[in-house]
Amino acid sequence: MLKPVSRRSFIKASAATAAAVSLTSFDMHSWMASASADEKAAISKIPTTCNGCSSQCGMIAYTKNGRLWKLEGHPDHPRSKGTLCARGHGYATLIYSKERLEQPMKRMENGKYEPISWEQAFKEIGDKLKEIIKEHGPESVALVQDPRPTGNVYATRFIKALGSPNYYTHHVACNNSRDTGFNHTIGGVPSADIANSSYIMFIGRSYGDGIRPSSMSALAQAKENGAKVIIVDPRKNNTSPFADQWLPIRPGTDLALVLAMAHILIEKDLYDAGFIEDHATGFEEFKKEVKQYTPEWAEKVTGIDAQTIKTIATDMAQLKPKAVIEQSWRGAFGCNYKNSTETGRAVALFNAMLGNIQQEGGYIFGASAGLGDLDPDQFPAPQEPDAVKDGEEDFPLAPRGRGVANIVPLRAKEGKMKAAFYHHSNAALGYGNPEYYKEALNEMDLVVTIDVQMSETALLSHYVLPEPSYMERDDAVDGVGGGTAAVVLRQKAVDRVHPNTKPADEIFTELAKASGVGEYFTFTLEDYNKAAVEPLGITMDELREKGSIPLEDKKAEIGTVPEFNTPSGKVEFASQTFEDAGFNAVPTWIPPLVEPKNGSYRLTTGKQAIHSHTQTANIPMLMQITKDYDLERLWMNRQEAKKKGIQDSDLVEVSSDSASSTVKVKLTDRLHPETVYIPSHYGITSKYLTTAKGVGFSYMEHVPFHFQPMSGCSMIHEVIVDVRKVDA
Amino acid sequence: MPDHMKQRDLLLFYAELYKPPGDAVYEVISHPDFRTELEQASGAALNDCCDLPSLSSLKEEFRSLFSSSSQNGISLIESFYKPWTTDQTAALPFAQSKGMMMGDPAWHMRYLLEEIGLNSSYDPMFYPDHISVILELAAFLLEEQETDKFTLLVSQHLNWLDDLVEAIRKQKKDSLYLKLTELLNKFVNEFTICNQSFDRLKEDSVC
Amino acid sequence: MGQYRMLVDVTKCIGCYSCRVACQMENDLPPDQSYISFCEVEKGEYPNVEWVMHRFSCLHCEDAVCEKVCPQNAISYSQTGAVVVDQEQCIGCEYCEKNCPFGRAKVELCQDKEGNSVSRANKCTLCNGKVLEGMTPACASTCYTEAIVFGESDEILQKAEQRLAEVKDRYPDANIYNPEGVGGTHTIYLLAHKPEEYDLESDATTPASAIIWKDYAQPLGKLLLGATTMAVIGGAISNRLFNKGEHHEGGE
Repeated sequence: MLKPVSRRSFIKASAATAAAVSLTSFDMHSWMASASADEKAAISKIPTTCNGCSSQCGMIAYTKNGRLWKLEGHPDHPRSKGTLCARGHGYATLIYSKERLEQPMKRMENGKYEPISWEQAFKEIGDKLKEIIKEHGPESVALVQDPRPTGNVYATRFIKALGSPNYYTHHVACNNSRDTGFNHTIGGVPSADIANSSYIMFIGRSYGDGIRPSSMSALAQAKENGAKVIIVDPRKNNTSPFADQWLPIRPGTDLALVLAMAHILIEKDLYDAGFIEDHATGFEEFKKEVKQYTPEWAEKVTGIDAQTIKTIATDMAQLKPKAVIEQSWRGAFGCNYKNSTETGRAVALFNAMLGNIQQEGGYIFGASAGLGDLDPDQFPAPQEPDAVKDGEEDFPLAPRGRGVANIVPLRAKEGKMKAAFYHHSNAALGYGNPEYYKEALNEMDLVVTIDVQMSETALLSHYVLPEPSYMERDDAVDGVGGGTAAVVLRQKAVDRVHPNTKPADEIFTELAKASGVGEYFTFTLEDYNKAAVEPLGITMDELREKGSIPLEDKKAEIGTVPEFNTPSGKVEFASQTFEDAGFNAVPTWIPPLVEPKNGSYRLTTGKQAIHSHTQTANIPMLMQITKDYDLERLWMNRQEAKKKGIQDSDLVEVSSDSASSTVKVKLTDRLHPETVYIPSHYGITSKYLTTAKGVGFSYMEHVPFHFQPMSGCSMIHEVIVDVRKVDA
Repeated sequence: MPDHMKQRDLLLFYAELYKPPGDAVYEVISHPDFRTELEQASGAALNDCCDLPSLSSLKEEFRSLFSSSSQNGISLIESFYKPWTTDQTAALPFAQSKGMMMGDPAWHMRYLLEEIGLNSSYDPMFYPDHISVILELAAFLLEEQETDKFTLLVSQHLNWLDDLVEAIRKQKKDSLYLKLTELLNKFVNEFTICNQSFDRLKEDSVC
Repeated sequence: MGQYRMLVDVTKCIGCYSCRVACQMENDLPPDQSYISFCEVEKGEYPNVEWVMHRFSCLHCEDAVCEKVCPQNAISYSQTGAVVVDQEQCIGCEYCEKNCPFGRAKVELCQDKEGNSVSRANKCTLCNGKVLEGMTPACASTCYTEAIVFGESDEILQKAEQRLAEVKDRYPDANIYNPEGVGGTHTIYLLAHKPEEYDLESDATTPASAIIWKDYAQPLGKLLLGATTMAVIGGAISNRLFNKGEHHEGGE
């Protein structure tokens, strides 16, 4: 009676016999001892790539009997060059974490998530999508991701196949302001040749905090060669051991500093006139504009004394073209202030005035890998949608391909955006105000999240679709641009731990079929990968074996100034495009949107070397470092704290118009008195992420939902807070 | 029915119990002789329990206790309760931590299943060291009358039920799953009590 | 005399914690155990402030107190210069922890071969096994700023002197921490400030009582009383004679 009649047996015993296994092997201890002793037979070496941050460094995974055993940096990958950072080592433990998504889930009416089958998930999502598109048109659908190789191929194709132009990336809360500035002046974003530079200025960017191993060693190399290094940052950041000078600038005034430095070059006639003559337009207009931006004026705005500004500008001019303002990522002007796009323009143009473009020790436009693509005759590609990407009319200067991702919740609230897909993206905590996101996503008819863990965005979704971790799957072939371009592959190092997860290529293919656009997804990932390496004269077998292959015939040409990717083909000191969009043709001083006063502070944020966005916060070995050293604390200038009777490690309340948070405080002399600083990785609220939940707070809760006028960025530093001691 | 077959059925019942509940398992639980047969087969007494829940509330109870879609879902996977590996050469920081998937037990279970020829047809819930898989294998060994192997399996792969009982108790004191898991634990403890090792078996000192 | 040394140049450390994680990987340590601890030193007032991150682990003394007080002879010198613990011999008595002049030897819960939790001395091994195979310790090989460098003893001492000369302008109090009192160490530090700023004693020494214990009392006692009894007695002696009391763990 006990034996249930209609059993759903896991194991099928048809031709089985227990005699096949010896009693010795049945004993786990003796079996383990013999299995782990047989080292040579059991160890494999698989080159792949990290996913601990966007650098996606190459690494070598060693597995033993099919399980991860150890990791090393890939010596041939341009970004790791043989070493890995803490995240590289630690994030891989995600594979075996209990707190991962294991199966597709659907939010039920009571708000709880129920496991469902993939078939049900695809069918229901497909049906709903068809219904939404029929009623509201494909423009009511959006897809957002923090791009990774497979997503770059499949997610973009999927949204296009649906007929929607609305593809967006995480850059809205990263470097879109900088890119908007750079694109419209020098036609793209080059990389500073740090190792060979003699004078390097960092504005907000900190190699010591936002780690890429190769960048950090390039800086160490430059120092060894005697380079002078200046960091411009309201916080004396972790790059400071390698800096000769710290300029504790008033937050949000970097633009004034760079304009004044440009002023000096012009006033003292120190710029590279030959370069400007040959390769630039609009310089006269620019000259006229910056005449007013004297160092004395800048001193009042930035708090940096005029003499220092003059000295630095002059010294840089003397060492040109081996002098550079590093291009940065989010740093101080990636998406931070109302004036960040103008800062981006000014930085690019200052470098142009040094004539350092495509010169050793200056700005280098890297070579690209030049990957192939699928043959459109064999695998028809979807048409470009007729409609314009939502947000493009509002922000015509913003990088077109990436779009302005925060348009999605805005339009959702207006009732225009009905469906959204979030892939490898925790937008609801990372891109804009979380309360706003919550309200907006709740307005939508269909929200789908594809991820590896139950993020805050997943918790606002109707369907949650689980991917295997980056160590358990093959991704699309990727090209890495640079001095020498490389082709790289993320490949499966270990078997899938959760059998009911699916990689993004399969998910998007099935979603396309269920949505009636399967004809664009008749290829496999392997088909794509073969097509991608084909023009390089490399086979997939070679790439699988090596993981990362430098392309010796794809090198950046140094010494030859390229044609610039701007309307004029030149460096545009004055931009007609800016004028057409309703802004000044030349970069102009714009004050920050808000200013602290009467004992209030600007809330600023930045990265720590051990975390990446919010995706690593639930990794015990990384979060333990945070806990051991109280790294989630709010930084506050020691003198300011004294005025308020706040002592080190006191609990304080941080309140803004948007939110109120409680956190411990770290008193420091490394911070400008007008700002308080909070690392950007904390404040996880998802109850599914028990290691991370409840540690620190998210700066984004305080940032109002707003758009930088030129680039549409989140303006994450335009927020004022009060800080007061909380009585125990 | 001989005792070992009764025990086999007991294990198969439990294998079903730790899968999302359906009619089959409910039919067993709601049978008037259920308690008697259970106690007879296991040779242990069931602690007093709650009223018999309806199938739908049993489903809800299972979801809230064990489903990964519920917050704080209790794991039914052996690796989760044990150090990930005892391989001293594993250069991984979590090598000896608990709470990770695909640990030594999973690896060993996968080996056993493959060698014996117990193939799993693709099943989304299939983890080699899921409690139901271990129970099904144990039942199979009883059926084959492989007593030594059965004893080894049960003593080494089901010696974590104390932790499972505790985890359930923490979430729901009056759960049917708690009472039934306690009983399974008592049954299993009969075999694990002297912490069987292969060496002892060899010396014929089975207790 | 060991052959290798490690130099930790605190003036090049950016506090990225990669060494900690690489070390945990190499030595199978759980997330909450680390052979390396960190302390931050801020000197001066805004805006004229220097920040230094100090990454600290076992110094591998030439004349190691821990080796002398261990009643089990579980601590020994490797030919590489490392001071290593044999966890199978260790009984977790904590003498090493209580008597280390630097607070670096620690007794923590470790797993024995059967996977049981046991208290064992647990500290940096200078990756002795790797070094014996001709490789570099995990922390040094992952450090991309070369704040941790490893090599032949004399070369490292030279490198330290050279770096000291280079950083003197910026850090006038800079010094090489390689205390004579413990016979010199195999992990040496280029400190940016006086040792006291990092909770280190300038004149750390091996206490005479430890030498007496090791060289006279312990062998005799073991002969007469057996190891376990000696462990109890040794505990009393060592606590009374040279326990420094609670160590202040920098930055922890």
